[in-house]
Amino acid sequence: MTITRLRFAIFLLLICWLAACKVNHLAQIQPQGYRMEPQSAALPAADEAIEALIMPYKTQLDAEMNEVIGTAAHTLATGKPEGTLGNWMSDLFQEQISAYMGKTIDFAMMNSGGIRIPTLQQGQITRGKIYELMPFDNMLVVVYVDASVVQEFADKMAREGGSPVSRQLRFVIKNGKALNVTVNGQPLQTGRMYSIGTSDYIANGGSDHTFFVDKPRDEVGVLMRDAIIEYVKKQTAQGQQIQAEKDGRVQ
Amino acid sequence: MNRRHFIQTLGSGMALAGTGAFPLQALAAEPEMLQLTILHTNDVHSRIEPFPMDGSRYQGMGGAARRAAMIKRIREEQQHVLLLDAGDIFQGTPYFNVYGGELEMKLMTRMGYDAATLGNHDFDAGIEGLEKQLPNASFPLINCNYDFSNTILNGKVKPYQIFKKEQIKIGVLGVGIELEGLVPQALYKETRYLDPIANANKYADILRRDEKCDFVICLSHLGYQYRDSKISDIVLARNSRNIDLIIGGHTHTFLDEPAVETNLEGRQVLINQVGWAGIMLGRLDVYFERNRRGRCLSCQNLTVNTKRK
Repeated sequence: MTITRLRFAIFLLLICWLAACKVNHLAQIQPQGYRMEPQSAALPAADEAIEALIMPYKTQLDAEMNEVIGTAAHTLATGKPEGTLGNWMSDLFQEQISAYMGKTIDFAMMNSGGIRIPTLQQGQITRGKIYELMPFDNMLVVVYVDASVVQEFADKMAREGGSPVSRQLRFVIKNGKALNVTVNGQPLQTGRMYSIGTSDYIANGGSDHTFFVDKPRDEVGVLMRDAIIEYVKKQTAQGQQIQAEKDGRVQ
Repeated sequence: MNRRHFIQTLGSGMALAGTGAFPLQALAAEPEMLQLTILHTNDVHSRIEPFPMDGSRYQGMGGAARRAAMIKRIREEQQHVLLLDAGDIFQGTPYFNVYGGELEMKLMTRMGYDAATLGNHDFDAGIEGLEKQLPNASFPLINCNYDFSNTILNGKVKPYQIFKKEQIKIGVLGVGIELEGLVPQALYKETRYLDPIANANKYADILRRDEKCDFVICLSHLGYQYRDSKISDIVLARNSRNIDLIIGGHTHTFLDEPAVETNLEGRQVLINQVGWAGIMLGRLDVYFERNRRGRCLSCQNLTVNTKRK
């Protein structure tokens, strides 16, 4: 048995030698990576041909995007269970949607993944910065759900350790569940309908918000990004700077 | 988590660096070594320019022009380079909102990308928006678990691509994440999501057995790892056959060094991912020994060290 195998192996080797066939063996993999630091001696200077390719696009874009639309009084940041950036965005959506719809909605929410930069830095806010914050062409909508769905939503938030929601909704996270859920200071009431402002992405079940699918809804008809830009401009016109705090809405 | 990495026990690793094919002195003229340099990015998200100098975490980092310069320098030093991207080329700066991904594709073409796979955000301008940018991409888009037959992308995305570097054949396949729940259906239309593991294995088998590839790379936009049982690169690696390397994306994970998992055949699979936004350019130097023998002589130098991180 062994001898037969050995003979076969020798035979194969011989064939290989005669045919001059070579085998490629994976010998080694050596990892390395380059961090694209701003001023690093280890990195070459920017490629000029690439910069030239970018330039006409950049010039046109900058003309539109470098418009300063407001000022952040301090740096706003994402965070869990709540963050100033998520609080600010959710609160402004609640306010803006209520204004657009001509009626006060109960609260507004968004998914953590919907905020695309970790901080809005203190200082001038450009139009382009809002595009970075909210690059998606998501539309604002209002979904109408009963108390059980609000609880279900709060539980999902609790499992994720918190996600952006406006100040009207408050609860405490315990063992991955939402306890003492209140809307405008009132405990959830069976039989009452709640109006939640969010994006069409979430209302269509995005990021596993399946409980919003097929619920009654109103289209606001405004892009989330445009609502943010309008809000910042409105604040600026009123001489206000952008600011937000953590108020323990989710803890 | 058990993270392991390769260590060069002999000096050969150092001696090999920076050279192309050459005979290994100590082993006479018979075995030759060939070096393949794999460069990779993932989740660049339309970051054409470096992050602005506004005091934010990644200020001044990234930027296509500097990445291009680095790639050019490496190409000057290395004979055999493969430049790959693991998806989410689009979405994240106004460049995408305004120009629809045109500049992203043109820049990748100019940098000489060899292949890219599709991320969920590459559907953000709709499947028509993606199709519209294909003429600006001279490199193939690779995916084997999206069925595009009832869409405008039918026949325009390949399940795999084979690259030949001297006598080394490299097979590259691609897998993508489930789009339902992540991307509005109005954007991905009739694209059907198929099992990524079954399809990765199917095409890896074709690449290894039928196409006789020496090295099989899977470009993945599944994500590195999840708390639940959701399919990730780790899950794929453990349930795979014939895949040597997974270049991942989606979770924006910065790996200090590639992770090593064991596949269904008891062989090692490397997984690498380099964060997002072009902050990092990944590089893996793969060395092949060519000889007429059934076994590898210098492969004994390859040892795996277990280290907890």
